[in-house]
Amino acid sequence: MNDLVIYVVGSTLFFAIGIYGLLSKRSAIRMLFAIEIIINAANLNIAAFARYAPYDLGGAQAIAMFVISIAAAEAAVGLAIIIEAFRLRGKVNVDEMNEMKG
Amino acid sequence: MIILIATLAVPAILLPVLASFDWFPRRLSSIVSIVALLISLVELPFILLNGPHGIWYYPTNLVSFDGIAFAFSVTVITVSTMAAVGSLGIMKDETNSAIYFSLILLTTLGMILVSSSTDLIFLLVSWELMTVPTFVLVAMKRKDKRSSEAAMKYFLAAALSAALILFGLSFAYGLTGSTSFSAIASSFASNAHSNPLVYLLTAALLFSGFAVKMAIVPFHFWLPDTLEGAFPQVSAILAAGSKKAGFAAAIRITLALLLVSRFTSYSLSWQVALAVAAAVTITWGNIAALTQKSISRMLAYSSIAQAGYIMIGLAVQGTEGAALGLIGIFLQVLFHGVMKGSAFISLTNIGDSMEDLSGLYRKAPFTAVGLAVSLFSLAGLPPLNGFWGKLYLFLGAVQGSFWWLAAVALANSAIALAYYSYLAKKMFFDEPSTESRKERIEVIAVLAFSTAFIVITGFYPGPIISTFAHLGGLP
Repeated sequence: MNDLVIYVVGSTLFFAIGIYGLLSKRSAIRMLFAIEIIINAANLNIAAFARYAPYDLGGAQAIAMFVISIAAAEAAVGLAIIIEAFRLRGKVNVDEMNEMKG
Repeated sequence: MIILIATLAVPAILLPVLASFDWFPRRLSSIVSIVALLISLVELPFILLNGPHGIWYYPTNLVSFDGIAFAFSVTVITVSTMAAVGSLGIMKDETNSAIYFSLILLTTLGMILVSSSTDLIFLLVSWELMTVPTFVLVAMKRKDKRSSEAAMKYFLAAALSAALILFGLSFAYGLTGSTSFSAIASSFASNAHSNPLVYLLTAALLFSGFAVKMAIVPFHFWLPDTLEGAFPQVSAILAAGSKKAGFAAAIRITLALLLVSRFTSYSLSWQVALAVAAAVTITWGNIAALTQKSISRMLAYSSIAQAGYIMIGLAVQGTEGAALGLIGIFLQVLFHGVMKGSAFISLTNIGDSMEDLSGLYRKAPFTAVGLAVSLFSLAGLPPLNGFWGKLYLFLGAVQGSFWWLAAVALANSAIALAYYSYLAKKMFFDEPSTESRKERIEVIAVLAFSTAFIVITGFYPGPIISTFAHLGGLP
């Protein structure tokens, strides 16, 4: 049971790192990385629960595969958007994106 | 249900492929898409009458088309149809028009599946099916800096929402050993009160993931920029369609996770937390809307405020006002979808700055009347249908003994009426200051439908209310 605690604490740390990165970094690529860290923290959680939980968790591998493919699909479209923004501006800093002001 | 999915998915997949051949007439893709959406709208009652049965089993039901799914599916298909019809003009000479309409079909299918899924993994996959096409739709204005900025901000917010849902999902899975809502609900019911913190955290992670999509106040930052940068039709789908699908997911979480758990050791109940979020969201949205110089930003902030009104219906679950709150949510979702959708689509005929509104009645009378009806209905004036949704939500809040919440919401309705009347005054009484635009016929068709819908359901809300009351009785 102690091993499970280590994994869950680790994944929660990764989650915190991801949130920190999302809030503090201003480059769109870095923010995308931060989100990927959160998604992989969730995956680590799922894998750890499947291995150590006291009851039978069927299908954890399937869920992890789903999560990986979802993250890949999202990142593919996101990178395309980032490339389009880079072509139009020459940089992808979200702080300097202020065409619209309320 | 399979037939419904096929009705939307088959054209969505085939159209871009066929449109790459030279012999395929370009106009056909838009017509096929609109027909597919209308057919799927007709199919909905038959699916509901067949009973809420699942189609895929792993290890339990993944999808169940019940009353909640029906109410939300009607809304999102109506909004998507309005947006697709309203896009006929702007997509006429566009080479990518087949892809545009295919993406509308895909995101509509995603919203339907989100509102009918009863399993967290299926919910997550449908969530992505709903979200990923809209990234591309927002970025569809090529070579436009504002559109690319809007798409970037929207992408980062939506990816954060998916990540939060996923992290909540991993905890729910570890705590309960299942991803199906019914299994999670029974596990929450029996175990949550012994160790409330981690269960509450799981529900909060899932809920905040949905709240990014619903644009509840700490998570609303992306909405105004995104809606300003995109095509007005796409903004209509985002503000009136996919936001509502987020609410469908939030209702299921509220009913399956929060309602069954007896978090008795906490003096601050989740109902109060949701009520505070609702009050802050309504107030923030309305106050920010007062100061906007762009019409689409003002509509975006007013849509944040409307999300707050819908939150009232969530906050009263588990109290005396639960049934009224659920009917109020259904009414507000359907009516607000149509009003907000038509208001955004009418911007195609108007332009985006406040100056374009001056003397609109003389430049474009049909658009002006259609927009004015939508705006007054958004404000909740009695003869129009926006009044009924708000009435049921307020009654739910009063019956659930959230007096202060009903008072805050009522005061905000007055603020909202102020800025909507300011727009109406500009349209009808000011001198025209800018060049007049050609009124697009397809936009007028959409506005004619929405005006008729708003007025007719405003005067005769009985059938819709009794249908929704019946649906709300279903689990």
